[in-house]
Amino acid sequence: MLLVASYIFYAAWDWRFLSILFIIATVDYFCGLKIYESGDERIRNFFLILSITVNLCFLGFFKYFDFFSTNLAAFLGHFSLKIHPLILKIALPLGISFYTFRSMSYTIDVYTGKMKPTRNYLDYALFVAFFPVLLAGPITKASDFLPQIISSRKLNLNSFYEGCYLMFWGLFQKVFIADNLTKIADPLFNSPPPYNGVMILLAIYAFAFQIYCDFAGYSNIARGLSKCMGFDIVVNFNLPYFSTNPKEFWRRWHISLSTWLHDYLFSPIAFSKRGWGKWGVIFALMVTFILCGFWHGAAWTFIIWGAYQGILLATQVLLEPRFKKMPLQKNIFVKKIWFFIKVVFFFHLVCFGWLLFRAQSLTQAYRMTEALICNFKFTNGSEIKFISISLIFYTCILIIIQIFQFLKNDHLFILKTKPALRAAFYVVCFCLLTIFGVSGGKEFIYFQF
Amino acid sequence: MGKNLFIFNFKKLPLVFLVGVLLFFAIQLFIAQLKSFWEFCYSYSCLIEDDNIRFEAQLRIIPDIIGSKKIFLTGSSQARTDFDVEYLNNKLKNTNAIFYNLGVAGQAQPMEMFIVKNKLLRKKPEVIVYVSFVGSFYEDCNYKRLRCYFYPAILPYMLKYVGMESVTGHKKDLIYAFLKESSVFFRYRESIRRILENYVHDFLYAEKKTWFKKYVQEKNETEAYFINKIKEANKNKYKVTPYTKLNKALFVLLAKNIVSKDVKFIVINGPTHPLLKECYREEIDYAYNNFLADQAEKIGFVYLSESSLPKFTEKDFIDFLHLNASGKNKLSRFIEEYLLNSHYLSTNE
Repeated sequence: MLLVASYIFYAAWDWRFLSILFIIATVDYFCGLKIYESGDERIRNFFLILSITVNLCFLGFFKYFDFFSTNLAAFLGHFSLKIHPLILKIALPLGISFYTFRSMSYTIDVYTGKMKPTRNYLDYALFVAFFPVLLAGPITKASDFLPQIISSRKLNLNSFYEGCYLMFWGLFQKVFIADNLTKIADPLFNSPPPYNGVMILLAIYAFAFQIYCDFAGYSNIARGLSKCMGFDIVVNFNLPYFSTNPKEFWRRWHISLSTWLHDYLFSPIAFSKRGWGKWGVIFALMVTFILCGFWHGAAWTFIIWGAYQGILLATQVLLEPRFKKMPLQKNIFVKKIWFFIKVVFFFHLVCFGWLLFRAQSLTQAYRMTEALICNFKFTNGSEIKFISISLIFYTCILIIIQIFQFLKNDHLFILKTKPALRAAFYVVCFCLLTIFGVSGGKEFIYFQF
Repeated sequence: MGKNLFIFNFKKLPLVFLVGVLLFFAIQLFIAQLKSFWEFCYSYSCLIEDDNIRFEAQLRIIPDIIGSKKIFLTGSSQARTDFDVEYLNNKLKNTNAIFYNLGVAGQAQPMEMFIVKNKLLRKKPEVIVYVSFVGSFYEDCNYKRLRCYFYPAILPYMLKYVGMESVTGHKKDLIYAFLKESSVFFRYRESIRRILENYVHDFLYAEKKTWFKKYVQEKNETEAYFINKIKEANKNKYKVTPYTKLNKALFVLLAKNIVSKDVKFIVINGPTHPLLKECYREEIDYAYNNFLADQAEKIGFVYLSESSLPKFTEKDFIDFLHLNASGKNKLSRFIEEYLLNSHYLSTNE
């Protein structure tokens, strides 16, 4: 029934793309069986490569064809070879980046012996098409999620309520925070130069919370919905803006993708380059994160954003031994202040990444960076004040809740607070959603990836 | 029954959540009783966009002064822009009359008036002036007002005159109306949001903007505008629609209801630009006027047709339907004299 529901859900957007889901599920199902059953390494390799090729071909064709075509034409243009790029302008099948990665994790896990393949095709098809995570993840790994589909599920009231709460909070994050911040970030990012540094900084802050709440909101809804149905899927965001360094950030941000990349891309590359020592790790990091950027979208801004993340991580790999030698602070107050400074500093490094990510072109990213450095002026004071107040208004609840989540190390702490406080929280959220919730707002940002 | 079954295990019910929901509605009920809330909304709202909240705010802040004669100017944006309320209140101070402008952007169809009639009558007005025009009866229905107020009494009439399709075709509007009726915040969500933004804006810029004037048009439209509109209309701007019968039936009910409450009911054929007549067929005008004149005689309300009003020329209008400053002055003077001469209002002197 869940499989039918998932297919109907996907077909509601465009029934023709159901065929891709079906082909991917069928190919990977059979590849998984063949890999497991065959003792011949060459056959195992063949089916693994077949599975990866089919998935990447679909992904490459729908997502990157136009990008490669345009860039090839531009590249040849440098050599006076003028050709018209072939642009297909095909609609990107929703969630293709997510379900291809999900499906690939299955054949790779079977290949590496982490799991046995399933013999039930319908179970596997449901794993690929499970509707709460179909469009924008989390990228549930086969070894985590498939056993839950196969085994019988136990529903209980507590996890049902937790699921409902997660959906409610996810909805709040999307409709109240993300969609309202879009209204601040979009006009500023869509405006032509000259730029004002202060306005750009505010636009970046707005986008940082927008993209977080948009994606974390979707992940919470997906997780909540799954919980209500008796599934437990991976936590995708664990208070990422409380990170103090790049490694920690990627352990907290889009956890399912970073885990996937770590397991299936970074680790094999780093292992193959283990002879290079530290530089092998840095090489693996750079390749992984450039591809991570490219996964997000077929544009140079995403690739540069990926490279930037790679550089941050590589810098940490290089500098970490020096930091470890520094004496540890014993004074708790100084420790807390130092932690706060690190969080704020690293948040700004992340924000610079968001500038690269959100900019419409590299030129715009450059102009905006230039404005941040050279034109940081408080002219147009009232407008700056108005945007700042809006930004604080839309993010303050999130920040307060997240501080408590962080201190209590519990995402569901609200459900354990005193009843009066919980009731007040619901009332405030209802009021804000009713008055300020954006109806008919933008679709989730990660749908485009 | 098993102990953990959802409904039978009372302790496991999300009581706090339910309390939150109840409190959410209770807070709104409380806020809706506060005059200061409506005064705040009225002073920071914009014309056109926030007309509906301005209408309710205006009604909510009407004081219950005994002895004062409340005169409601109702109808479309024509009613809102064509009268100089300040002038009228000033001129008729001695009669204890207070004018309230309750015009809302739209067509002011009788259907729209019908769903708010009880809200109006609850405030015990002395006179209700309803500014209608040919479009009030001879255009398709405007569901804008239906979206704000749920008035189930209208449903049987809709079914009778325009059929099931009108109800099912607008089920979303009706569901919204029902939901909005239960929540002030939901009903006026966009307006409240704008009002708060306007307030913050004023606070930051340290100036008191008259937000309601934001959309006031002060310039007259050019000749080309009128020519284009006439061409566009192709004599078909106003015509008999499936809603004409419904509006006529609801108008009769509305008028009877108002008159039966001893409220003086004046229907004014709102002044329109002379060129508007080029946009529709002459017979529509006759039918419209005849209907209102007939009903006025039968039911006992006053109908002020075009011939009863002062002569308005093209110099008095900003567009087809709305008067400019000089036209506004003319109509306000006329209504002042009419009310005095008809002894609806007697002076204290």
